[in-house]
Amino acid sequence: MQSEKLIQMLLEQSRQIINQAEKLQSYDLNTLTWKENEISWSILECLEHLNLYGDFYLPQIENKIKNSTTKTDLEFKSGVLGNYFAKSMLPKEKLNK
Amino acid sequence: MEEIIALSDNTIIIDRSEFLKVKGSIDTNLYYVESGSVRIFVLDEYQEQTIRFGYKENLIVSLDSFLTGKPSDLFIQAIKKTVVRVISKQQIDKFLETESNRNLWIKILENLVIQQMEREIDILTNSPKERYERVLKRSPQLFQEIPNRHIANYLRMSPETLSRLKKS
Repeated sequence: MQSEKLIQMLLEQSRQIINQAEKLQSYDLNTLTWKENEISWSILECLEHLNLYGDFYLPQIENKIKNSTTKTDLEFKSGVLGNYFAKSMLPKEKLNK
Repeated sequence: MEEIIALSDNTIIIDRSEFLKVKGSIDTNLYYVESGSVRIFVLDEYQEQTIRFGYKENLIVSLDSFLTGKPSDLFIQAIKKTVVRVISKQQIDKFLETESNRNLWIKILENLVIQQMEREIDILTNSPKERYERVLKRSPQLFQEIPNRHIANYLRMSPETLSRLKKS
């Protein structure tokens, strides 16, 4: 797919996800901190986890892009490894319990 | 302007804090605010800087993206639950096939240019008191529709300074 098109698609996905996250702000603390059992994660813990990863990875990715000496490809071709890692982070049918 | 609003065949409702548009996206839509309020802002080194508001009966658009079809850094976010009518660029292009419609459009753009010039002077005005008075004079309605903390950001002052200026 065209890189530009992929970027726009990802931005739109991000917008929708951010909007979903914004809705959570109106939830009460009990709901946000509820855990199914001792080792499962609450909503807040999930969000904190995502934020921690974002805080680490996003500057790293930005840095690599900024200091890259390669040219941008007009056409995006995903690699085996990249594909594997991206897919492994998608929500699964059966959630990790 | 009613003619333009009438073009819309799509109404969307956004809850408060929801984004109509995020940085980097291409957005060639024109939005007419039926109710509620939104702000348009940019991120300046992770600080939000509001550059414009839209409340009922306003047209809002990320004009850079609208005109160029390219990505824009603007964010458009609902301040409270907002109902907008969406008019696409294609609808506007079709609308502009008539001369009288083109004249209406030119008037709208001329108006926007004047507003931008006023805004440019706002930003270059040193005195917070003067920046406040300029905006109060030209958009008193703003102070009814938009919470203080957003107006303060728009005026590039702290909410405390704005409170003080409103009292004096």
